[in-house]
Amino acid sequence: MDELDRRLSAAAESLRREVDGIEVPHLVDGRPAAKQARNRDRSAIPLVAAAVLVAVFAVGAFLVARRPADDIVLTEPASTPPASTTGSTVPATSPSTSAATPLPPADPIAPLVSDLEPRPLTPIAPVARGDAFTEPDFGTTVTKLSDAETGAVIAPASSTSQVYNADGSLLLLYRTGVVAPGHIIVDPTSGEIVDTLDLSSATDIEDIAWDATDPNLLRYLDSSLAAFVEVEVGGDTTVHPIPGECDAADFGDVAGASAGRNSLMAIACRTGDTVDWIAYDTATRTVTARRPALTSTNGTVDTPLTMSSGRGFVLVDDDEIIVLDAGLEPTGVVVDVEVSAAALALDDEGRDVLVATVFDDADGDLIGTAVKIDLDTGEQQVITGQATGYPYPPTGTTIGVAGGADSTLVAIITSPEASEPGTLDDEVLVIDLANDTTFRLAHHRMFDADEFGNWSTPYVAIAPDGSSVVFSSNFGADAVDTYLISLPD
Amino acid sequence: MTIRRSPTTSDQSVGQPTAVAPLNDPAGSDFDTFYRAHYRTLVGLGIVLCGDKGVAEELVQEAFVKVHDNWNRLSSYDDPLAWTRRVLANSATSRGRRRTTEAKLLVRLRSRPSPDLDIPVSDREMWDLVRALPRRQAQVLALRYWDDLANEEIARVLEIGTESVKTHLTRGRSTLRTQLEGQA
Repeated sequence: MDELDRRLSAAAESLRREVDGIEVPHLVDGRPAAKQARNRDRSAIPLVAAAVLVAVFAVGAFLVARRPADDIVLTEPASTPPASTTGSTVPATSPSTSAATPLPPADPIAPLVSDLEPRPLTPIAPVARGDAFTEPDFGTTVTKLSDAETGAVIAPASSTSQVYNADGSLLLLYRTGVVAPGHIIVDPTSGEIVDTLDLSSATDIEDIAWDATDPNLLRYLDSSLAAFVEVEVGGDTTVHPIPGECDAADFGDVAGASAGRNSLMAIACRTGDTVDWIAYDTATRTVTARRPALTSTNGTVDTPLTMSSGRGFVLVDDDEIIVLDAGLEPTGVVVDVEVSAAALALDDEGRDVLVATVFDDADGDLIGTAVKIDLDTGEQQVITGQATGYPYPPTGTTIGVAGGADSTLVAIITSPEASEPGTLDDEVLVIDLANDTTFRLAHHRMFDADEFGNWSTPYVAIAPDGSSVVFSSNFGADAVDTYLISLPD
Repeated sequence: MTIRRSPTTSDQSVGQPTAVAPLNDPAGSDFDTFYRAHYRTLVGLGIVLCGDKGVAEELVQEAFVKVHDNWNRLSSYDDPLAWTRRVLANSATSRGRRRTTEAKLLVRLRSRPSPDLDIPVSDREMWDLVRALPRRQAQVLALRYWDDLANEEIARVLEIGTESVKTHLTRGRSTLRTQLEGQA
C-alpha cells in the first residue's frame, strides 16, 4: 500500500465513523420522506421571505446577463418549475416545488439574444408536458412537448433527421423504453401523440424523410427490397421499387450533415460488386440520374446530400466537400475543409450554401461554430467564430436540418457540458443567413445523461417556416424529452 | 463523421441492468430493508462526491424516492444498489442538480449552514482532492475507496467499460499522487 492508498483508506475510515452516527430518517407510509418534509417546511416559510424570493428572482430574470453565477445557487426560484401559460404549474417529477413562487410568464415576442455575453446557467426543475415557460437565461418561450418514462427517451432521432413535416404541423420523434419503442408522430402545438409508426425496416432510425409537399407522407428506404416505402400518417403504407437494376439500396455512410428539403434524393445502389449513385425524384418516383459512386479516401461509399434548391448535390467527405450537379457529376467546386457537422440551406439570395462547424483549418482563419460555404464558388465565410468575436467552437456541436425553401434559418446545438458554460456552451442557436446573425435561444440543460448513450447528445431541428425549434434534453432528470422554442416573426 | 446508430441494442438497454428473479413483496418490507441497509453508506458516497453532508443527505433521499417509485422494476434487478449508486453518483457530481439541491436545502434550512463534517482536516482535504478530479475519475475513485468496489462492479454501476474504469482509476490516482507529492 503506497502513500496515496494509505491516505485514501484513512479518509474513508474517518468518514465511515462519521456516517455511522447519522440517523436514518424514518419512512413515511413506507416512502422516503424527503419530499413530504420539504413541502411542510416550504409551507412554513414566512410570507415575507417568500415575497422577497419572488422579487429577487423577478429582478434576476431580467438581469441575467449581469448576474454572477453564484446567485443561482442562492435563490429558491432557480430550482422552482417555471410558471405555465396553460394554467398548470405542477411539475411532473418535483411536486415539492409547486409552492407559490411565480416566475415571469412566457413572452412569445421577446427579442432574441444576439450578443456575445456569457450567460450563467440557471437550474430549472423538471416541468410537466405542455407547460410553457420563459427560459431564464435567454428569455425565449420554451414548451415541453413530451413525457418520456423514467430512463427512456422521446426525441429527434438526430440533428440530421427531418423532424418537422412539410408544413410544420407534425413532428417525427423517436421513443425508447418499454412502451412501444419506435417512431411517433407528435402535434407540436399540444404535444399529443398523433400516431405510432413501425418504421423498423428503414436503413436507420434517422433515415426517415417527410415528403417535400405532402404534410402526411413519410418515406424511407428499405435496403433489402431496394425500394422506397411511403407511409401515410394514419393511413396506408405503399412500397415503390427503385426503377432499374439494383440488388440493394442504402444511403451509404451517412455524413453528419442535414440535407436540403426537396423531392430529390441520392442513394447508393448496389449490384454485385458495383455501387452506383442514383438520383431519385420522390415526386415522380423516377430515377433522374445514375453514375458509378465516388469512393472516399478510406474506401467507403458516402452518399451525396440534396442541395436545398434541388439544383444538385453535395458530397460531404471527411476532409473535403465535392459539389455535384443534378446529374451527380462533379461541378469542379471542391472545398478542402474538414467539417464536423453541417446543414444545407439557402441564403437570402437563393444561393445554395453549406453551414458547417469547422474545428481545424490549415490557415486557422476559417474555424467556427458556423462557417458558411457558397456551393457555387466554394467561398467560405465565418459567421460564428473567432473571426467574428465568438469563442472557439464548443465540442459536440450538431447542426439541425435546414428550414424550408422560404427560410434562411439553420439551427445549431452545442454540448460541451462545461462546468461554467461560457458563450455558446450548451446552447441552442439559430443562424439567420439573411443577415449572418447568430441568435442564442436557450441553454439546453442536457446534464449528466451518460446513461442514455447516444441520446445523451442533444439534437435540434427547425421548422420549415422558421417559426420554432425543437431540441432534446433531460433537464438533469431521468428522461430525455423534446422541448419547443417558439421564435418571433 | 459518420453517425450511424444501431436502432435496437443501445435503445433497449438504457439504464437497465441484467434482470433476475424478482424479490419478494417488491413494494413493501424489502424496500424498507434495502433503505435501512444502505442509507448511511450512500450518504458517505454522496459526501465524498459533493463535499457537503446536508446536500449529500438530500441527494440520497431524492435517490431513494426514485428507487421507491421504481421499486417494482428495480427489485427485479440482481443488484438494485448499483442503480441507486449510479443515480446518486450522477446527481452528486452534476453541477445542475447539485446547485438545485443546494438551493432547495438552503430554503429548507432557512439559511442555516449545512452541518459540518466531523473528520480530520487531512482526510477532508483528501476528499477535496478527489472531488477536484474530472467527474468520471472522481466517481471511479469514490466507488473504489469508499465503497470498496472492484473494477467490474464500478463498471456496472457507472455503465462504462472495465477498461474505462482502469483508465479513470489510473489517471485519477496519478493526479492525486502528483498533488500529494506537491504538498510534501
